[in-house]
Amino acid sequence: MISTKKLVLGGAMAAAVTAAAPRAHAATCDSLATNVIYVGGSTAAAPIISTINQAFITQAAGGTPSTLIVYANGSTQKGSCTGTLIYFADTAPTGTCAAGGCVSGIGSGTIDPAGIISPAPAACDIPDNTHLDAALSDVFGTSCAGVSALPADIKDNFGPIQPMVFVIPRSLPSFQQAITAEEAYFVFGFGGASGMASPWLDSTATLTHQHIRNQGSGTQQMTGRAALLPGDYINQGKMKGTNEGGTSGVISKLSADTDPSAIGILGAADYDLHRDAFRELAFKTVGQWFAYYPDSTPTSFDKRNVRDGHYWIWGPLHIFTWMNGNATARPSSQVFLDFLSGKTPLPGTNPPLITKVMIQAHVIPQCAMHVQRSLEVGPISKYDDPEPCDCYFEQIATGTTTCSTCTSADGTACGGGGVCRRGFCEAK
Amino acid sequence: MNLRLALGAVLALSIAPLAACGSSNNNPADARVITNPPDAMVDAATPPADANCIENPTTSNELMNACTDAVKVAKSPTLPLVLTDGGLPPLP
Repeated sequence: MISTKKLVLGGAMAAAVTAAAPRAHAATCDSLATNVIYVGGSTAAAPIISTINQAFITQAAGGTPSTLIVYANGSTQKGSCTGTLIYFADTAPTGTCAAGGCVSGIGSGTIDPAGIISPAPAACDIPDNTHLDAALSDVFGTSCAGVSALPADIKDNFGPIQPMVFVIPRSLPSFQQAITAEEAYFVFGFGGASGMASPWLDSTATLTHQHIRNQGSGTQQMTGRAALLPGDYINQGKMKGTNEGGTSGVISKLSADTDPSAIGILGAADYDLHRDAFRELAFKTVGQWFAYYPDSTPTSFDKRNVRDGHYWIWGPLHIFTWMNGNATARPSSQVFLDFLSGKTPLPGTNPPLITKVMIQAHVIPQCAMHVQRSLEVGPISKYDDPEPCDCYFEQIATGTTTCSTCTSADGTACGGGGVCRRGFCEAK
Repeated sequence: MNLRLALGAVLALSIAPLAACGSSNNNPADARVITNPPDAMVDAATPPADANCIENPTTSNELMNACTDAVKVAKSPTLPLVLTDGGLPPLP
C-alpha cells in the first residue's frame, strides 16, 4: 500500500519525476531509482542533496538513475529534531518499524517547499513503513527535547559547518552593527520592550517584530543558546518572538518589517542568498572582547571568523546513522555518508567535488575549519584537519585566493612548500 | 593595516589599529574596528590594557580573542535590567 505522504526531492529530481509521472499522480519514490536513499530531518543539506541527485540523473541520460536521495518532507516529519526523534525511535532499522520510528502511514501530504529547494521540487509517494537511512540535524541530538544521551548504536557523523546569524532588515536606518549575548538574552528571553535592550524594543503584544522559528529549528536552537537561553527553555518554545514557520517565513516577514525594533534569525547560508534584504549583526559572546561577523568583513564570503573561532554561533550538520558494530546498520546509510565525505565521487564526467558543492551551498567543509566543538554552541578548541582545504575554500567561496596553484596529484609536495590538494598548495 | 570604514552619521570612524598585538602566524596585528554608539558598560569582558588580542591562542576564550585582521565591532551596551553585580536576572 502506498500512502499519500509526500517527499520532496532535490530540485534536479523534478525532471525525473515529471518524466516518470507527467500526470497529477506522483510517482512512488521507490520506483524512481535502483537505490533510493531516504533521509529526514534538517533541510539544510537540501542544496547538496539536490546536486548529488542531479549528478545521478545526468548520468542516467533519461533512464532510471542508479541512486537518488529522497528527503522526507511531511509536515510532521521535517525539521532537525523532528526527523532526529523519528530516526532515534527506529530501534530496529532493518526490521519491523518500531512505533514512531518510520516515515509511513497517512501523512498530511503537505508539501512546503518554499525556501527549501529551488526550483520548485517534485514530490513522490513514500511507501508505508519506510526506514530512514539517515537523519540530518543542525543540532546535537541531546539538544532535542527528551534526549539526554544518544542511543547506544547511533553514530553522530559530523558534516559541514553551518553558522547562524542575527539579522535586521537592510532597509532600516539602524546604526546597530552588532549584538552581544547579553542583549540577545534580554531581547529573546524577556521580549521586546520588556527586555529594555535598545533598539530591539518591540512593543507589540505578540512580538511581531522579532522573527524567529520554532524550538525544533536548528537556527533557533543555536541562536537561542548563543543568547544564553537554557536548552530546556528553548525546547519549551519560550524563546520570545513570532514563529514564522520556517526560513522562508522569516525572510518574507522580516524583509518587509520597517519597525526599528525588527530583528530575526537565519542560517548564514540563507543570509548569504539574501544580503540585499538584510544586514547581519556581528556577535559578541560572553568573555569576548569584540563582536565579529561570520566573515572577515561584512561584505566578504570567506567565513574566516567561523573557521578560526572568532564568530561564535555555528555547529556542524549532524548525520545520524544506526550502527551495527563498526558498520552502518543499513547499507544505504554508508552510501550516503560516503557521498557527503567525498569518499565516493559523484558519478559522471567531471562531476563537481562534494567539497565544492558544500562551499557553493554556503556551508563550510570540515577541512576548512581550524576550530571544533562538541557541545551546542559550547567551548571551542583547535582543530587541525589532516587534509586542509583553506585555499580551495577561499577560491570557491570568494573567487580569489593568495595560495599558489598546482597541477600535481593530491597529496604530492608543492615546489614552494605545502601539499597540492584540489589544485592549490595547502599548508599540508 | 588600517581601513577606514564609513558607518553612518552616528558611528565613529575608526582608523586606529590595535597596537598591542604583535604579529603571529596567520594573525596579522592590526584590526579594523567599528565602534558602536558608546553606552555604559555591562559586559565585563574587556581586553586588558596591555593587550587587545591573544597571540598563539589555545583555550576557547583565547581563540575567540585571538589576533586577527578581520573587522571587529566594539560594543558595550547599556542594559538597564542587568543586576547590580553585573549578572543577568532570571528569565520571566
